[in-house]
Amino acid sequence: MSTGAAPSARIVSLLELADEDPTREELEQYLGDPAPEVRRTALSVLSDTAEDWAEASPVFAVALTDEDPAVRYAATKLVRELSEVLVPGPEFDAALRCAAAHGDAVVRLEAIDALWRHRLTTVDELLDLFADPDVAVRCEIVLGFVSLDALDALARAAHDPEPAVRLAVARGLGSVGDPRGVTTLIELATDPEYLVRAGALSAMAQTGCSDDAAHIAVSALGEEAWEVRQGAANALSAAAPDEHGTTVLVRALGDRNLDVRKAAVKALGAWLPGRPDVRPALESALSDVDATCELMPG
Amino acid sequence: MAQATHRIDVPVSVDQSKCIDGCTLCVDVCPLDSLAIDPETNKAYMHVDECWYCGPCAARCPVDAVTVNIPYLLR
Repeated sequence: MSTGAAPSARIVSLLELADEDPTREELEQYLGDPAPEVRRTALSVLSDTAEDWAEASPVFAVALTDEDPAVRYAATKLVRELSEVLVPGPEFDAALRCAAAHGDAVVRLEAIDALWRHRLTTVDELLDLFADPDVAVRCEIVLGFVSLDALDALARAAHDPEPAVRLAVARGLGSVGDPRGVTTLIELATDPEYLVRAGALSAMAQTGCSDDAAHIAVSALGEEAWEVRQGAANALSAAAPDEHGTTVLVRALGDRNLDVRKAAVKALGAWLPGRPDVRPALESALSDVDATCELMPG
Repeated sequence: MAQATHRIDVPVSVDQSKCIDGCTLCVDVCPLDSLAIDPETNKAYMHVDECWYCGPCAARCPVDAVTVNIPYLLR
């Protein structure tokens, strides 16, 4: 093929080739074309026509570090979209690691995402990458920690200066669901940022809510931000029923925010088997102005 | 389906100066078959005023000629 022709002519010839189920060799010249729009289209064609994914997978990973941003972004979208079919191998893994150190944060994020989704990374490697200056990349690394159930690494990440990262840690600990994560969640439940506190309290519903955590949740039900009050009610749903908790949750049934009321209904519903005395309060929620609060279990 | 009578007011607009003569990528990926090739210019345009705002037409265009005008309330 002559690259003297205009890029648009090469794109048209590439699309004609696409109808004939081209081999990787036939696409090679387009994947290495000097014009970025041709390389980008070649990636798209490869994603539609590839049959041997072990052979095709490295092409997408290598394209993550293309010199042209448009090609890189096309590659990031394809690496994510094709996650289920891409086949890891030495070349694929090496290209992803190269991309994880790229100057473009979008590329780093997608490379790290692919590394943990394909189970190609370790906690130590992710901890090294966690020094990344970009917040979104660090949030992605937190997801990697979650995929590895890395509670210690998540505890370290909980001290990140960015609230978005700490919130990701709180949610991640909820996803892991390990009761040992509560120690970190207790720290995050007193975070200066209210959304982090809310996320940490909500996550306690999945990890279990120890007595210390329940004490914080009961206090948090009096906070100004409804997100925190909702999180506190969620947390108490996983706590052991007690007198004081019952009192504040029953009070929360009259909260001005419907999401808080709904969370209180669910929490008291979870307590109902151990504390039948909450039934009258739950029955009163049946007349709540919001239909979703009428969720009384049992 | 309603035919698109004004090509500049439709959900998907195609910059005719960028669109590649003979390329059919956006037409091929549209799930509603809302895009077509104009037989006179051999370039893409929206011939049916129906759109899911799904976006592959714009994402796949190699020369960024396709723009999906997503309504404000759907953004």
